[in-house]
Amino acid sequence: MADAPDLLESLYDAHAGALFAYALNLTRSEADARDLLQDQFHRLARQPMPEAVRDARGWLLRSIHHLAIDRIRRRATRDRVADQWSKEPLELFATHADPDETAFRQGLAEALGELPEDQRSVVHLKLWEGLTFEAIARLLDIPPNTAASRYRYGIDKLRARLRPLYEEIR
Amino acid sequence: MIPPDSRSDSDIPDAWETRLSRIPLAPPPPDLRAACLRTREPHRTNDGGLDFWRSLWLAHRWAIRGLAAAWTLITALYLTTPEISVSVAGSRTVWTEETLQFVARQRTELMATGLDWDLERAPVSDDSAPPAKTSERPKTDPPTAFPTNRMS
Repeated sequence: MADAPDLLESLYDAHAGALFAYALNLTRSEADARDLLQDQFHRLARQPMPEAVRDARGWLLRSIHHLAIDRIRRRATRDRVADQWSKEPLELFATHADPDETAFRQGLAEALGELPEDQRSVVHLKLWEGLTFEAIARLLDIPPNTAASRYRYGIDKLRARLRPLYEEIR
Repeated sequence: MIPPDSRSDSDIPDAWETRLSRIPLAPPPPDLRAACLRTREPHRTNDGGLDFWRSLWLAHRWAIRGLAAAWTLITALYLTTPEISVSVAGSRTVWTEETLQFVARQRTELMATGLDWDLERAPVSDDSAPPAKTSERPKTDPPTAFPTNRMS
């Protein structure tokens, strides 16, 4: 059996990027995403991932998804400025040397913030994690058809929202 | 609102989806790795006791400092105050002649009262002893503060 600290480090190196981006996209707050990731690994240190888990990435995404939803709900209860947070400019995507491409990425990050969180999570998991609808459905505890519908809603909204910018830089 | 056509996993992503999916996500902040992996150390080393003292110190820092200062002051006073033993104190006591005579008189009166003696017949060995105050003593059955074994 691998040493627990080494296992934790290897888990971080393999999955932290995806987990952080997903948490950042859901919560729309870098501070919250940092907290969630730390909380995630704090829990892993106390209670390691079950050995029966075959898909570590899926298990971790599911775990941080629940943490993020809890955080969003508590935040919405605490104060009613969630809409304001959702419009915060985020460094969700890597920077690019081309200013047009940077503007497009920034616009995409903002457009994602305008999506409902259930659509945003499905779009993120589909586009940037490459998960199937079946996998997304298992991860989010929803039927596969619901996952597919949410994705279609979300991707169409992004297309409509970003079409002018996309046509401009195409 | 008309629901959009549902997608399936077998559908090929269109150009728009492909374009979006190729945009790389930003990596997590560099300092986050150390922060995430540092959270495991207290559990790995199982130093819950140290955590307790650390939290106690952070919560009551000034109270602990005050207690430490008070204890230091008490200890310093204790160590710097000279001690005088009973024997040394006794050797330094000066008994004057008057005091000695007074003590002798008190002892004689006490003995006379306790043993129910008649002071007029009692032998007075000490010349310095004062005359007995017979007038103040009752003629019969003098009071005694002490129970005696004698049968009257």
